[in-house]
Amino acid sequence: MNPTRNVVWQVSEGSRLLWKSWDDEYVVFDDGSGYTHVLDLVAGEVLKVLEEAPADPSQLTHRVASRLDLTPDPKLVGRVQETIRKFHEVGRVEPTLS
Amino acid sequence: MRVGELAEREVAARLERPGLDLDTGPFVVRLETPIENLVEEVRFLYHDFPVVQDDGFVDFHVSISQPSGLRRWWRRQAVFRFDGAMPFEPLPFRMAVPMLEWSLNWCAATEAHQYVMIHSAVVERNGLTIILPGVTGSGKSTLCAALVHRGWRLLSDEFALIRPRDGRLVPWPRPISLKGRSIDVIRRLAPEFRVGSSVPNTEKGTVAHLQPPAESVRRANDTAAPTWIVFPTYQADTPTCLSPLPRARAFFRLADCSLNYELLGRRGFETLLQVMESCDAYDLTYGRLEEVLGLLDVLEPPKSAATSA
Repeated sequence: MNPTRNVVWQVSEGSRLLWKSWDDEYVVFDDGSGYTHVLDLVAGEVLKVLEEAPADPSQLTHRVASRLDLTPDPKLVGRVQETIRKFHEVGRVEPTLS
Repeated sequence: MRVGELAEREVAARLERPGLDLDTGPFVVRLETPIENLVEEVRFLYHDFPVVQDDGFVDFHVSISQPSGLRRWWRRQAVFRFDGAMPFEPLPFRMAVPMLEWSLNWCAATEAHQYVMIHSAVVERNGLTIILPGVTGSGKSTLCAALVHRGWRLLSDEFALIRPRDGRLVPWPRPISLKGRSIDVIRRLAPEFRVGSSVPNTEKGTVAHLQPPAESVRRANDTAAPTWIVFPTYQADTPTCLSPLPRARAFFRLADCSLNYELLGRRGFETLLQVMESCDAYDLTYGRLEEVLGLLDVLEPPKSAATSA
């Protein structure tokens, strides 16, 4: 699935995320699947935003930019899309059905 | 009563039947074996361990024996049985001694899920504790033995047993397993150390076990708070390099060295968080023991773990 299209993404059903941040990194544990990830700030914020509410890539980029005080420039857009792709690959996020 | 206080024939008789109950700290092990050289090695390696006299609870019932039939005489073998079951294929008879140690490791790894278990050596001095996680060949046992020679207390050569309720380390001060060239390295460094017989051509090369210091065995019930996590890598002729590791990365690597992190789920995650909160973590590459020992001697304890939820 191409995350550049207007797909609305959400955290995968059954996920129960537990967070810890140290310096500029997150450790996140999914109590639903038992998986643990170490995430940098951008990847961590992408997942946090989706944990709060489903979003399409554009909304996601703007919310992440706002949280991290960044400009939603093409570089960040690409970074967010790549992060969604990776999260989707490992089953952390999924497209909403609507 | 300790093993070393029992007469040789008494140890042999108990080992043959019904088994010698050893208080190894967190676990009472009932050890049963009729194999003579294993009797000698148990007397030597477990010399300072208390013998449980009453017929109380036993955590692991381990038997090392010879198979019945032709294998008893021809190409002799040793068989490990745990609570009567035989989880492994038999090994050549000459490997009975390392088989005992590997069997005890297996017992803990498969049974002791009341702890978060990390494949790691652990030493403590003056209330400060180093966890040395690593796979076989990383140099953790050599480093562990050298630190013990330097006055550190042995908590374990093989397992960091972390108690989930408070994140403290529970000692399991069994014999230190030395392999290959590290046997001679430690013999030269610490001639006073008592090393058991060398067993060549095991799947891990030549193996010998070091008798754990009496003081470490005596303090087998004194838990310790973790202070540092040091991931060692031995590389011959390499200058020593100790580099700080960000906590999140260290967390992940620690979980990766755990034997039951995934099995324990949230309890494992929360326990390792507790550990990481109080520890500083480092990557260590070393080629010369003297250099690294000096460096670890002067490690600064963490001032505070800067964290945010």
